[in-house]
Amino acid sequence: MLTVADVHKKFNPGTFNEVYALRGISMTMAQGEFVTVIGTNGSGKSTLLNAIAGTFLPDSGTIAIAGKDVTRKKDFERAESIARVFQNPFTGTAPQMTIAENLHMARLRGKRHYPRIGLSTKARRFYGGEVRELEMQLEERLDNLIGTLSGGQRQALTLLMAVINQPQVLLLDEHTAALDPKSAVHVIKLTRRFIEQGKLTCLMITHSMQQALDLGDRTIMMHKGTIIDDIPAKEKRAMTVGDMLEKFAELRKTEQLTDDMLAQLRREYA
Amino acid sequence: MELWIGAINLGCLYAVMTMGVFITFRVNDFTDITVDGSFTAGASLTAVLIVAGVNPYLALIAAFFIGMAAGIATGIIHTRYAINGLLAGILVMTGLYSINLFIMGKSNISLLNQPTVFSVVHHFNPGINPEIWMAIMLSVAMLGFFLICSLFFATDLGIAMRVTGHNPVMAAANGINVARLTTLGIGFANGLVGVSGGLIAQYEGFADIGMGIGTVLIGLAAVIIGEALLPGRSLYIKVLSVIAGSVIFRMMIAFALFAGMNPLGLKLLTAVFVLAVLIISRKVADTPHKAREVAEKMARFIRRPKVIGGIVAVTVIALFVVWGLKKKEASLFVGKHHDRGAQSLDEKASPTIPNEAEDKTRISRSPEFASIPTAVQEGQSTPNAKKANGIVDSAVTTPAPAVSIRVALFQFDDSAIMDGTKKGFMDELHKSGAFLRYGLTVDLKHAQNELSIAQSIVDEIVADRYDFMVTLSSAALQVAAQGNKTIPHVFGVVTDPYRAGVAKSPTDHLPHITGIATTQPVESAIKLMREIFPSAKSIGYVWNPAEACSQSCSVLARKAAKQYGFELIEGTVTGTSEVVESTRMVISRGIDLFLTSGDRTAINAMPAIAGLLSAKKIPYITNNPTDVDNGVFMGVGADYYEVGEETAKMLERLLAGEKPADIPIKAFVPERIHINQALADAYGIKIPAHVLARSAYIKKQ
Repeated sequence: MLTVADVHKKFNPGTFNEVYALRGISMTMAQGEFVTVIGTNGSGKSTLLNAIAGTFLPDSGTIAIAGKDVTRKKDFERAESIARVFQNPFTGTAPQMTIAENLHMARLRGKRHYPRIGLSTKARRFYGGEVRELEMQLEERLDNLIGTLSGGQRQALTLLMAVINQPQVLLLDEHTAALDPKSAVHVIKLTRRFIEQGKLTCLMITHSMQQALDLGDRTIMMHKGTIIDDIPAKEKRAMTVGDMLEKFAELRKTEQLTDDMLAQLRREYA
Repeated sequence: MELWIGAINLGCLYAVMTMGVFITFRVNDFTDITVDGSFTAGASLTAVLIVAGVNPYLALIAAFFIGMAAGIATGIIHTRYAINGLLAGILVMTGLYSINLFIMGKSNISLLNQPTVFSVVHHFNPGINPEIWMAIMLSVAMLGFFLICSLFFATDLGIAMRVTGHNPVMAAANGINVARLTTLGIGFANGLVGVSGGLIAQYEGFADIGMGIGTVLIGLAAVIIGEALLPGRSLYIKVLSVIAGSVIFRMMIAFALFAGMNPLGLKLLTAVFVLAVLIISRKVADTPHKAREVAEKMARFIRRPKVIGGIVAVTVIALFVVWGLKKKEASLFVGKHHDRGAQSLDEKASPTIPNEAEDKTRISRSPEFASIPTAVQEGQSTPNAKKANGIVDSAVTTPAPAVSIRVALFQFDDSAIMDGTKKGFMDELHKSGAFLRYGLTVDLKHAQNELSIAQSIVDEIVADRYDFMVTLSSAALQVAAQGNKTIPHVFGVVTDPYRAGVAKSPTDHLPHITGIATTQPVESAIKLMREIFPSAKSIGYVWNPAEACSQSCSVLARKAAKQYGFELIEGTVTGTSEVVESTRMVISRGIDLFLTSGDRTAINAMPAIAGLLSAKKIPYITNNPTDVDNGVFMGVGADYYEVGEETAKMLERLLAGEKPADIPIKAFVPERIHINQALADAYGIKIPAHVLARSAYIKKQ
């Protein structure tokens, strides 16, 4: 469903601030596969996600979705097949507009916006039904502005907006990192349910090793702009958090990880 | 009352523009200065098309598209080339100035006696006051505008546009082409601004190159006032607040003028007001939840129908009370509002009436505005009040006249010519005894070079039921001719009244308007130049094509130069900042003489021109005699003191009972030659004796 082949990206090339963010990333995801990504700070996890979403164009390499090359397509052109949820709950919604209007925009994803009243009573009833599935009592508040909602409610809505049209690829960028623990648990529950129900192909960055183990079919580990490990489903099922940290330690021996990096990983994930 | 109704009508017409500013400022989250240019673009295209015989409604549609094109240009510059939005707007606005001049071919087009959308409205008037009828029709139109805008923002396109402004990242993630939609939004907004410009041009009766200046601030102020007044979050409330804000802003301006505020301070007040509201609204947004809840509760309370009704009622009553007080005050102290516009005539000016037998009435010789108070008024006004109000009179011994006639003297902007004219005008009224005979009060109204103020002033003059109106300058004539259809009107200091649209020939003119036409004696000046300089070959000539008067002068200058065997080397400018450069360019082409003629831009930069020319010993000739005192070699022009006297004489004919319709427009050019002999000596130029003999004034040193 998703193919990334030898993608390179340098930011601010030729300047003092040059960052070689992606150094030849290659990966594939099958239809309906759910992959989690972990890695140190600055390892290129978010950059990979942005490259797939089209926030910027890669320097070289190709990206294909469902066999179609989208390497040169802009973000809004890819939005038809790719949906995403950001880490910051404020990024994914328009705060000064109502819940219904936000959902309506997500529903029209990839379609032209004609000057016609599409947000009809019928459409609102549909959105009401969808919102009910979030189990947050938002169905009565369709006309409330997003700005009046909590971070957890917003993130749940952003998730609903991302899956409302059954995207071919769903990208989740540490989407529970900024939430309180209770909301985070709820949003993860919703994530799991939506992906299972829709049999979605999903790439999820996480900051929690436990999440990486619990969720998804396989886990990718990134470091310094490359994929250093790809743990298949079979192996992952048998693993604990301790095992995973040990795996990091093992990688250290091959000198791909420094002591500092390992310390950082332990702090972040354990 | 007409003042307030007029303000409502203007508010409705400006509401279309305000909606445009709202779309860029609040929906696209973009401060768009293009508005200043697209407003004029809409106005100029509408005017040109209507004069060419196009249906005024079609002309408005054309205005929409030209505004939209301007907005799309700004949008593309901003989104495609990532140039700062403010800068993109400035670029397009500056470019539009030239485009607008190209469209109009001149700086000002009159629409007087042309069909407009409003003539259709007036055609169906069942017989009520035209301004009130207009207000009713505009209210209906505004209701339609409100519905259309509200519905548009609720469509898929409208929602997408709002999302793009509020959160571009989310918009892109949801498949919205942010660049395209932003461009479309700016285009759409400027289209509305263009329509508004077209409407204002049709309402005020002319399009002018400078009419768009400051439009964006007017729009922002109206948007902000609307938001402060109707702080609701619902879409419909927001759209309503835009229209209401525009009307209220116009009312506030009318009120400021009405209460005697100096229009000079109006711009500053607007800027301070917008700044204050911006800061306060930011503070409110930052305050914690509780404070906002209180504010929302108050807003809900205020929005209850009964409360709204109450506020409206109190406002209306307050306005009437002020109005009443105003009337009373006016009758107590004659001339209390003389200084409206803070432009009392030069009080230091010395008496200029010759001490001759004409001065039969023994009244004050002061050139100041004066009136002869009736016995009652004299008894009630204190000496201090009189002094403060600039009333000077010494005719206590004279019996009070039976009648009391009020004249509004309306000027558009300031210049030395204006000062001379006003002095001549007042002196003549004193000399002839008109002040005494008719118990005359002359009130000065000054528009401070601002079109919207001029419009309000004319509304006020009409509402105040002045007996006569006198305008000085073409701009004042045009605004007054459109806004006033009843009060007898005398104009002066107008180069070409036929071009201003008030007349077709000296006898075929609007029935309530007549006056004095004074062309610049360009030909005389060039003829004299040939007499003094028999071997000179070329004349440098710097002028601003955006000035209507200057444009007709340039035509005369070209013709006369050809006739007397000169080559005319022209330099054109669009502002005073370019005059020095343009003069240098003209000098570099090896000119023998230099001429400026009736061009306000050049007049304002005259000292600089004179300095450049004297360094090269090139004689500088102008069409204003008094310029020789400012380093000019020779001044050949009309004596505007006499033009003022002549204007006053025409007013006296009306005072004596003649009808304006029966008085033909008078061409009057009191030609005067002033010579700067000191400069001639310095340059080593011998001036022929016959020229010196004809000169009214010879400056020796």
